Amino acid sequence: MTINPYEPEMAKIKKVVDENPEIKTFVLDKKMHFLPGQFVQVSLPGFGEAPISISSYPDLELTFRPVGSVTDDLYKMRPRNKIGIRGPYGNPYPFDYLKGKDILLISGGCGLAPIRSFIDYYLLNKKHFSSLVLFYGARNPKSIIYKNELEKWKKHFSVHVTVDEADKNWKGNIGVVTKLLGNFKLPKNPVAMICGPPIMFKFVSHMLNAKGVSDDKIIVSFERNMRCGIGKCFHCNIGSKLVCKDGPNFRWSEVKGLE
Amino acid sequence: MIIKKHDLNSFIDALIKRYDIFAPVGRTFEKIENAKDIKLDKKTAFSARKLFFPDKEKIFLFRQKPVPHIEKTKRRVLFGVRPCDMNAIAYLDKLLKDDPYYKEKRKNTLIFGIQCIKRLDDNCYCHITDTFQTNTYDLLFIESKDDFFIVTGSEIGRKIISKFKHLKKAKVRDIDILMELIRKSFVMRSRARIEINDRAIEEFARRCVSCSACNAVCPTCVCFYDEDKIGLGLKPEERIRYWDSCQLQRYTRVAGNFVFRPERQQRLKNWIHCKLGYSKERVGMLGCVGCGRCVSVCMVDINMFHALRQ
Repeated sequence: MTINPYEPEMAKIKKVVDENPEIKTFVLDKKMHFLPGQFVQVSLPGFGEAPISISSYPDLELTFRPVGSVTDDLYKMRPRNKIGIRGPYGNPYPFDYLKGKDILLISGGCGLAPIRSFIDYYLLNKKHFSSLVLFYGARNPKSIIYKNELEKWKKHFSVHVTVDEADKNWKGNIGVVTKLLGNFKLPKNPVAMICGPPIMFKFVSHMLNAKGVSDDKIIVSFERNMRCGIGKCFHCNIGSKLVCKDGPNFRWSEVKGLE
Repeated sequence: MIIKKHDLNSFIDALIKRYDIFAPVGRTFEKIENAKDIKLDKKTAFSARKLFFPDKEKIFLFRQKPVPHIEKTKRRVLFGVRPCDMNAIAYLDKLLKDDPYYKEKRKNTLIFGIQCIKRLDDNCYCHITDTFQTNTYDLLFIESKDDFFIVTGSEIGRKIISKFKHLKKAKVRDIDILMELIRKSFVMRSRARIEINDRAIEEFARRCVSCSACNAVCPTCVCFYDEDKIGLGLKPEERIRYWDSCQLQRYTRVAGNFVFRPERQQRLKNWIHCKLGYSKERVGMLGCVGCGRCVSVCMVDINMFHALRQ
C-alpha cells in the first residue's frame, strides 16, 4: 500500500490560548519532527484545508486568525476537539547559514507566529547565534499577541514593539516597524528575517538596503494559497519557485520582483 | 508488425471483449462499444487528461477520520492518442508520480498511440516543442498507405498483438525508414529554441477575458483545489478535488482576500511561462506538448506560440 500524501492525521487540541480578541493559539497533543519555519496543512472535514505555520518549537502549536471558512470553524474548536493535520511542509529557516550571525527578526501582526518558533529554538540553542533582536509591529495595543512571552523574551534579548494606533494606556513606540528600524544601529554581521503582510517586505527591505544590508541577507517568509503542500497543485508559484516546496522562507534576492 | 487498415476494426473489436476501450469519438475521448465509433481523422478538442485526472474526483470519505477513497480502475486501453498527448502523459507521470489517485488510473491503462505523419491541423505546434514523437506507449500505430505498422513499447503490448491473427511481420528497417521520413517532415519546420517574448504576451493579455478555456483543454494542466461536501445529515461527507484554473483571481487568493496576481495580464503571463519555462525547471520536461488546443479554443485568438521570439 502506497502512502497517501493527502491523508491527514487527527490531533487532539490540548489547550486553547486567546492571544487577543481575534487570534488564538492551539497547543496540540501530537508529536511531529519539524524545525522552525515549516508549516502544516490543517484539515477540517466539511470545511477544507488551510496552511498554517507552526508557531512553537519543539512542541506543536498553531496561531491563527479567523479569516476564511476553515479558520472560522477552527476558531470555534475547544480543548479535546480533534483536528486533521498533515505535514510538516516547506523548508525550515536556513540554520546553517544563520549560525554565528546577528539575527534581526522583523514581524508584523500574525507574522510573529513563525518567528516565535524561531525564538523558541534560539532560547534552546543560544550558542549558535551571535545576537538576536526582535522588532514587532501590531495594529494597536489590544492586538499584540504573545504578551506574556514578549515580557519573558526581554530578559534574553532586546525586544522592540510598536503599534500603529496607540490608546491612552500605551507608553511604547508608535508607528510602523520601518520607523523603529530606521533609528536602530545595526550589529556587525546582520541577517534579517521578515514575516508579515506583503507590503512589509517591500518597505522593510528598502530600509535595510539603505542601511547596507544586501538582499541575500534578508530572509522572507511567504504566504500563498497552498492546496496540496507537496508541489502538485502549483497554486503557490512565484516564478518557477513553489512556496510549499522551495519556501516558504526565501532569500529576498531570489524572489524580489517575481509574481 | 503490420496490420491492414481494414483489419484495424476487427482488432479493436477483439480487444473490446477484454478491455474497456477509450478512443477519440470527435471532441473527446470516450469509452466505445464498437470500433466504428472511433474517429481518427481529427484531433480531439479535449485531451485525454480527464481519464487520468478527472475534472471532479472523490478523494476522501469522512468517517471518524478522513479515509482515502481511491476508486478501482478496470483494465483499459486508451486507443488513438497522438504523440502530443502521449508526451503529456509522460509529463504527468513525472509530475504526479506520488499521487495515488493518478497512479491507480495510470497503471491500469494501456496506451495504444497513433504516430502523426504530418501536422494534423494549422494549430499543431509539436514541431516547435519537439513532441511529435514519443516512447510513452504500449503499442504505436504508424500509418503507411494501406497498412499500419505496429511498434511495441512494452511486454504486455507485445503479448496482445501476438494473439491477433491478421498480422504480418514487418521489417525493422522499414519502420526506421518511415520514422525518419516523419521526423524530417516535422523538423523541417522546427524552430531551434523556445524564447518567450514578454511584450507579445502583454499585447495578447489585453484581449484575454480569463475564460480559462485554455486550462480546460490543456493536456498538462493539473492544478487542482479541493472542496468538502456536507451530506444530508448535515455531517461532513466527502472531500472532492476539482480542476482549478490559474486564469481565475481566486487561484492566488489567500486569507484576508489578498490576491497575488490580480491582473489578467499577470495571470496569462504566468500561465505561458509555466508551460514554456517553469515546467522545465520543475518537472524536467516542457509543460507544453504543442497540441495547440489552447489556440483552437481561444475565443480572442491568443496564440502562445506567437509569443515566441523567432
